[in-house]
This record gives sequence, structure tokens and C-alpha cells, in this order.
Amino acid sequence: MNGIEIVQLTKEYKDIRALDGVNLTIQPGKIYGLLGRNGAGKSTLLHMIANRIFPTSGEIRMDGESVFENDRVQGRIYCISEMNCYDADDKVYKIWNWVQNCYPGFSMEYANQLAGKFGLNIKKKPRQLSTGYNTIFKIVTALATDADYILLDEPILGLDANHRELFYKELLANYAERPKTIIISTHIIEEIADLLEQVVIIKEGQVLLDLPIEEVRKMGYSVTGKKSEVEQYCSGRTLLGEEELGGMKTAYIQGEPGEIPAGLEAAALDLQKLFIRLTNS
Amino acid sequence: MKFKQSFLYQTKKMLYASLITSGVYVLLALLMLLLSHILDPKVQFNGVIIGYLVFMLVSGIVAFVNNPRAHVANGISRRTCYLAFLAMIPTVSLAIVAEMAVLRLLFMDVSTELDWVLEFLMQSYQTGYLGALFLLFLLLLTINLAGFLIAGAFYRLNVIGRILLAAVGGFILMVLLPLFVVVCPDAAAALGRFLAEFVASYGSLSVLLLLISCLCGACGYLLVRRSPIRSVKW
Repeated sequence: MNGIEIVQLTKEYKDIRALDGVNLTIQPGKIYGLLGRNGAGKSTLLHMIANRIFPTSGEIRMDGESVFENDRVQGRIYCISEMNCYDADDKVYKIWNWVQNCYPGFSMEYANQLAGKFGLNIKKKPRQLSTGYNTIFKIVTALATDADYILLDEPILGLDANHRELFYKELLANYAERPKTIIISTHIIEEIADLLEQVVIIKEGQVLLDLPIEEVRKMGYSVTGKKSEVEQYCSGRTLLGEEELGGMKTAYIQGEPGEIPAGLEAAALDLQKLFIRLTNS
Repeated sequence: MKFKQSFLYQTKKMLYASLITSGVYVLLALLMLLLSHILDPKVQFNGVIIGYLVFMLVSGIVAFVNNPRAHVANGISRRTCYLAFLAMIPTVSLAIVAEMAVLRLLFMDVSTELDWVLEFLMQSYQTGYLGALFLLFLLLLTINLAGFLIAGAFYRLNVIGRILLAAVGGFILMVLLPLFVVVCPDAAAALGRFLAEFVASYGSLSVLLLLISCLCGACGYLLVRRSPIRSVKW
């Protein structure tokens, strides 16, 4: 399996270029974090992989075949997003019957099990569910399809902390049972950082970064101390950002920390802080 | 290709909806039957055929918006969805014609509409009962595809395009056409005679309806094949 190859992908709307010549390879069997600010192009990218919208130019291929209007390829992909796709008048279990017809790997037993854990009433119609439970309905459906590529666009929208924790636990259990490619696009970076194997950051329609999480974590660190000492330490180093409070200063520096002078405190730069530094204009 | 899954999904939904429509007519006819015994023996119930035509038009309109979305979400291409839709329409049209035939048998006392429409078709086109039912079948097919095409045009156009299409279409039908008839009666009569040729015989009417269906079907595919999927509020 070659994964998903995205070549020179561009999407233009009236006066906006949502994606601008994106080149990316999604490798099989990994958990990806697709990060970016609002309007960066994350949802556009996922919707294109899922054949929901078409590009202005460029290609998306899976195992050499185009993903667009390709039943065979799309049968291996399942995408959830804010988009409501199913008939609002069908009850959840009826929608699952339809999904099961299309995804042979869909497990009704597993779906019912997850529904029980999340407290999802499968006899209700989606429009009778709250925002949070709509999201739960979508993520349960996605996990139960057992598709080779599961695309989750804002999968924790409206979920309370308990449900979010349960979702992460079930996602990892699902992945452990049968490794698949999962792409998670979310703004709650801190929470998903520990799940990820690969990080892709999109900024203004282009790929800013595409690295394994271990390398991303080594990309930077922070030093905190008295303003003058921090400024002295930062001289000659690539600064990602800085914050001041009173006489104290925190600097975010690119690269790996070497020897830290006494009086300064170094800390690992978490994914969210690194993301903010990289994507701040 | 997931043609079978798509065909069964769409057919099941449409048949269910058509049975509900028929159920409503059965209830109305029963009500009329009751009223005609209590109040006035001449109470009649009509509008069945128009009702089914409206049902098929609306179903076609709804199909463009709903079907691709529910299919693409499940990894089925618009092409497969549309091919299954094309296979579904004659199936459902046949079922509706059968429902109409059953209703006619059940409610002869309170509904002569089915009778007189079928009688009119049989007499005008020198055809039998089955021939008249076949014309109704073609009409249902055509109107469903026309509904799909109309919905597709509005879905794909931008706001200005939709306004223009609605305004221009309405203007032509409600202003230009009547004006043409009043201002140029001879030309209108000649045009009328010309158009009447297409519906003069059973064969020409059948061919005309089939041609219109094919045209709507082809244009419908051109509109759906690259249509972006849009969300709806639940």
C-alpha cells in the first residue's frame, strides 16, 4: 500500500485560494494530526480526499488510483466533519444499516457497544440529538466502519471532558486492534498530542511542516529567567517567540537545548506552543 | 461499484414514500365515501393523478440534494448513485401506476378522476387500458427527471444565476407566452398546431416523453457529476 499521495493540489473559491499547490504523502497505518489555524485549508483537504469537493487543479491518488469518483478507493475511506450527510429523518440504527451495506467491515456489534459506552440513543434521529451527541454518533460510525483511512475533522466538537477522554481511549483501542490511517484535524492540540505519530501543519493553504512527532518535539524549547539573562542567552539563536512579565522573560527557541546557564530554566516546547509560534504571522 | 446497495437504498425510500402517499389517498377516499353516504351522494374525490405527478416532481427535486450527499458519505460515487437513481425511477413509476390501478378499482364510487383520465387517454389515442397506463408511467418518469434537473440547475448556480433562472423562467411562462398569444394569435395558433403534431398520436407522444426524459437525464448527470457536497442543518 502506498498510502495517499497528494500532488500539487489547489483549491480556489471566488477570491480565496484555500489550498495552494499542496504536496503531501499520507502513509498507511499512522495516526496523523492535521493542524492549522482557522481557514488554513484543513477541512478543504479532508473533504477533497473524501470526494466531497473537487480540486481546481492537482491530484489525490491512493495506490495509484485517483480518489475522485472512485467507488473502490472511496470504500476504504470514511470521513466525518461538521457536514451532516445522512437523512435527518432516519434513526441512528437505520443509518448504521445503510453504512453497513456500504462498508463490509462495519461492525454493528461494536457500534452498539460504543453507543452504550457513550450513552448514545440509537433509536433517536440525528436531528433529535444535541451537538455533542451528534458528534458522538459520527465518531462511533467512523470507528465502527473499520475503514483503512479514517478522516476525523473536528471530532471532539461539543464533547465534554469525560466523552473526550473516552473517545481517545476508544480510538487507541481501535487502532491497536487493527492499525489503520487516522487523520485527526482539531484545534485542541494539547489533548491529542500524545496520540499522534505524525504532524502536518497547514498554513495559508500550504504545508508548513510534515514530520514525525518525535522530531517535532525536538524542534524547539523554552528558556525562562531574568530578561537580561534570557536576552543574552538568545543571542545567536533562532527565536520562535517570546513573552515578558514584569522583569521575567520566556523565549521560545528553535533547535535542541545545549547547556543551559545557571539562573535560566529550560523546558520542552509542547506541540500547541510550537504550533502557535510557527503559525503566528 | 456499489450499484446494488445504492439501487436498493433509493428504491426502498421512494417506495415507502409512495405507499404513504397512496395511504393518504385511501384515507381521503374512505372519508369521501363516508361523507357521501351521510351528506351528499354526489361527493367526489379527485386529484389523485395530479397528486402523484407532484409527488414525483418533488421526489426528483429532493433526490438531487439528498442522494449524492448520503452516498458520498458512504464512499459511493455520484456516478454510481445516479445510475442507480436512473434504474430506480422506472421501478417506482411502475409501482405508482400499479397503486393507481388498485385505487381505481377500490374507489370507483367516489373517484371518477382516474376513470375519466384513463378513458380520455384510451379514446384520444385509440389505445387500451394498459396503453393508457403506460403513458402515465412515462409521464411520471419524465416529471421525476425534470424535477431532478430543475433542482440541479438551482443547486449549481450562484445566487444571481438562481434569481435570473427563476425570474426569466417565470417571466416567459406568465408574461411573454400569454402576450405572444394575444399579440400574434395566428403565429400562436400555428405554433400550437406544430406542437400538437408531437402529441397527435400514441407513438409520437410516447417518443416525445422518452426524448424529454433522456434529455433531462443526460443534463441531470452533467449537473450532478461534479457537484460539491453541501451540509444541511439537522
